[in-house]
Amino acid sequence: MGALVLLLVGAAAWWNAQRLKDSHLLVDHAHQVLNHLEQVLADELGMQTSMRGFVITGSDEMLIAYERGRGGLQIALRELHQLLADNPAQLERLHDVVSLTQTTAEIMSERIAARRARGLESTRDTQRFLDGQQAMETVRSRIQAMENEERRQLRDRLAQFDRASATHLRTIVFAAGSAAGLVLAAAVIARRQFQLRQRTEAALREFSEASEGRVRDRTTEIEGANRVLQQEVLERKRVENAVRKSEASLKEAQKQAKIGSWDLDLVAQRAVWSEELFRMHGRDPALGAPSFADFVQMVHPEDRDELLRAHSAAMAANLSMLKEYRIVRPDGQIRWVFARTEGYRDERGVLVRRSGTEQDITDRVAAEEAVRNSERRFRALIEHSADGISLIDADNNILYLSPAVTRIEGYTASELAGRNGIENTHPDDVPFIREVVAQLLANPGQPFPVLWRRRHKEGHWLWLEGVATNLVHDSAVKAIVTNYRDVTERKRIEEIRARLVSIVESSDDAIVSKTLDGTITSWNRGAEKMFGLTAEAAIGKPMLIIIPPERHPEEKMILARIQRAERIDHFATTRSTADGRLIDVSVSIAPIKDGSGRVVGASTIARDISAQKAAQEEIRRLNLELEHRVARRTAQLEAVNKELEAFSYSVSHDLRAPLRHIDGFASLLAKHTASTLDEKGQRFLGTISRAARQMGQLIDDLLSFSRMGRAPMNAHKIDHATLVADVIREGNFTTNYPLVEWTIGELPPVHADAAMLRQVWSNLISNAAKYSSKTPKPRIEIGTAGPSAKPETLPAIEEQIFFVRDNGVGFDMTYADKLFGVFQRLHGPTEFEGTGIGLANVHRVISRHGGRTWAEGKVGEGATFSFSLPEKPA
Amino acid sequence: MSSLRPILLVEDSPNDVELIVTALNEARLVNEIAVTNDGEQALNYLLRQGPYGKRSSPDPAVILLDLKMPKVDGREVLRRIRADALLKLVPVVILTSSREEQDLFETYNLGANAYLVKPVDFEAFISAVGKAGVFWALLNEPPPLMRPASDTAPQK
Repeated sequence: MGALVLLLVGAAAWWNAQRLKDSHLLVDHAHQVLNHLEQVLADELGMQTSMRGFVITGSDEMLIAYERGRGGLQIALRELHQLLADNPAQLERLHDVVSLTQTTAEIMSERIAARRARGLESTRDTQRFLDGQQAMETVRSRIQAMENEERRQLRDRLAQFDRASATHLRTIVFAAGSAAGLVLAAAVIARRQFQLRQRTEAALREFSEASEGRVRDRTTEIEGANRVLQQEVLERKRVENAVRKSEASLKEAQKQAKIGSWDLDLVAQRAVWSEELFRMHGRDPALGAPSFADFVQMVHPEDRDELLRAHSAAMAANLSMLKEYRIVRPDGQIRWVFARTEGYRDERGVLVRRSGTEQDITDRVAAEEAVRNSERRFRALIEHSADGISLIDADNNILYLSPAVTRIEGYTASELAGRNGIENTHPDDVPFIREVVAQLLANPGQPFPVLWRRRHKEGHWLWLEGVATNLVHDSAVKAIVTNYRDVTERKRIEEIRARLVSIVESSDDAIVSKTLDGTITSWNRGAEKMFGLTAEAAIGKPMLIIIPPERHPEEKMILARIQRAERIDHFATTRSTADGRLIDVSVSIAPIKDGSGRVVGASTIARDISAQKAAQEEIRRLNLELEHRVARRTAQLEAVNKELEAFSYSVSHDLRAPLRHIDGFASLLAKHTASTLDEKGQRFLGTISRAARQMGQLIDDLLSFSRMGRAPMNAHKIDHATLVADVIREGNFTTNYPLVEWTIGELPPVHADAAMLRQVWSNLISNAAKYSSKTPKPRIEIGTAGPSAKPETLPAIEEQIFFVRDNGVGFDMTYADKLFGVFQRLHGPTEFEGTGIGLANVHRVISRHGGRTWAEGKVGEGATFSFSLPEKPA
Repeated sequence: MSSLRPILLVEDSPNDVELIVTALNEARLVNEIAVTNDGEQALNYLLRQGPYGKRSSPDPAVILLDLKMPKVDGREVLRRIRADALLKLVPVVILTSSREEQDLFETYNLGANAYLVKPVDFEAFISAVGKAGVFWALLNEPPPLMRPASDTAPQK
């Protein structure tokens, strides 16, 4: 029995021990399950928080906890799945939780993507937010349910175990009563049992307490989390409100700025457009955002390629693309937009997303175009202005010159740019210009007229007139602006006009103008003096006031002719003065025409010719007297001339005859007395004959000289070379002077009297031959010389110079001026024969031809005789 | 030739007459040399009038005519000769001291056959006058006589 009891007690104790061990395992298992469930919840919460952080901030860093939580969550769920493999009810709940976490994960990733794609816009999707919130709450309640179930199961098992323990205790007590012997053993066992139980209970209590604490903690934590969540929701709402507000203001701002934004998720191939972008493109928002290809079609065809090129380049280089281009709206309207596009890449560098903005800059472009046009228009005005426009600073440095300056000053604008305006200013005008600049600087904005002179590129002075304004204070100009024009011509005309006025005023002639009906319109000082009427008295009166009554019809005739635009020159007539005197006047009248050539009046210039008339009379008288005197003198001269001719006729006949007789009878006497007269007598007779012949020669030469002066000239073009050759041939020079070496140069034709010129050459050549005949190697050179041959007097007319040069005895230049005189000889007749007429003849002939003669020589070295003939006959 | 035609010398200067006759003689001319001392005598001789009313010699082979002469000068004589139907063909040689162009022009214009300037140089004078005499008296074929040598009576 004892053994049986012991066996029973032992069995019970073993069973009990097994049960205790089981319950211990059971507690441990529940512990693990609860831990993992909490982990799931914690991860889920972490992901949620992390996701919200990202949605709010958009910062990728916020997603680190999300990613971590997602991994932890998977692990915890897997562990739970294993732990609950023998608990179908819990397993089923777990599946529920798994599918719920999947839902929350989906919602979360969706919101992340939305945030990426659409930015804060995505936060407007409250439905998804609430979906997520609800799913989360469900997860939370499911996990709580699972936790409760796990705890309940544990409690049940432990209660079962307690009941079993009590049974065993009762069994043991019964057995002890039955078997004392067994008491000890039993006691030992019981004690051990008790101890075990105590230990188990303590452990259970401890676990229970710990579990309770954890649940409490968990609850607190969850409550905290809930509070946080609550706060987050509030915050969320606040943010959402703010976002909505900012979104609204963003939308408003986009609308106002005409900036539309877009986002293109390249992974999802989903594009999002802002409201404004739809409006800008005139696209119905119901159509949704277009695909990229469709978008490209909206771009103006001309800008498309360029845009695509810029786009690809920017995306490839990972840069923002900034581009202006035109879009064509469905209604055909063309708008200019400014686009900014950014690309986003994932961690592997793949381009996953593009977003950007487009701003409608049509108005700006139009405004810019308008500004450009306006600028172009004003520039064109300036550059095509006939006036020069200059911009200078306060120190006269040239900042800008309009192109007209080139036309005015000859310089190109660039040649003068940077130079100082004073440089080309007329020295007399520099003080004026400085004064003007000082005035301008003292009075900004006030225009000053300027009139000054500047030097044209070609050197002459220009009168310039313009207006200068100090616009230094004007930020768009910052200069002294002068617009000016060339008034040189006007100044010249003004000067001419002033001169003319002064001429008219200072003229002694009466200069008067009148209208076509004969009314006086102007009256100069000369008229005042001549007619004794002041300008005030005369102007407005009819011209007839100065015309004597008997000549009144004349005025009618004059006006008629003037009306036909005819002039009347030096019309001699009489006019009457204020005091009734009549004066002789010469009147010239010319029509005055207006700009269109129509005759509007007449100018009359009247000269008092009373004195002139008297002078003319005097001149006529003097002329007459002069004519008489000339006639008398001519008659006298003619008489003298006749006498001279008679004289020379007589000389040639009557003077020669006795000489002939002297020679003749001396010769006859010599012949007659040849046998009786001694040698001395014969020599005397010879001398008589020679003297007579000499006299005859003198007379011949003198007559020829006289003839040269009187004979009429008959000038022709003469073949000079032939003439000289004839002279040499006919003079037998080559025979008579065989030793002479002749050099005859080219002799151009001349215009002269052939016979006279022949005489000239003959005289000069025979002279040269004669005076070189005693030289061992005589040379005679004939030719022409350049115009510088006789330098002392420059001829007023073109002339040709000829010369004859010999290497004969020459002459002393002291007597050079005597050479051409009549009967002037430098050699005695025993040295060289001659009468001294030859050169005088040469001089006379050449003088009559309008030429000159001269000679150069040196005793013993030869002489050069030159003469000139005008190229054209005088 | 039965009767040589004479040479008529019209010269007022006896010196010249002597020199000319000398020259003609030197040239061995055998023609009669009729000398008249002025134009009037010359015309009388030629027209066979006055002192020459009975002249029967033929008209001269040549007339050597000086220009400057008292009373009727050489030019007038020449004019009269050329104006006379019977005399107009008789050769006339002007023999004078100068070559005044005016004289040359006038005498040739009046029909002079030659114009000889008396050189001052005697040798030249002898030569020139002699050659002229030989030419006109011997070499030159004179114009036919306009009247027979025997016709001596003046017409009037």
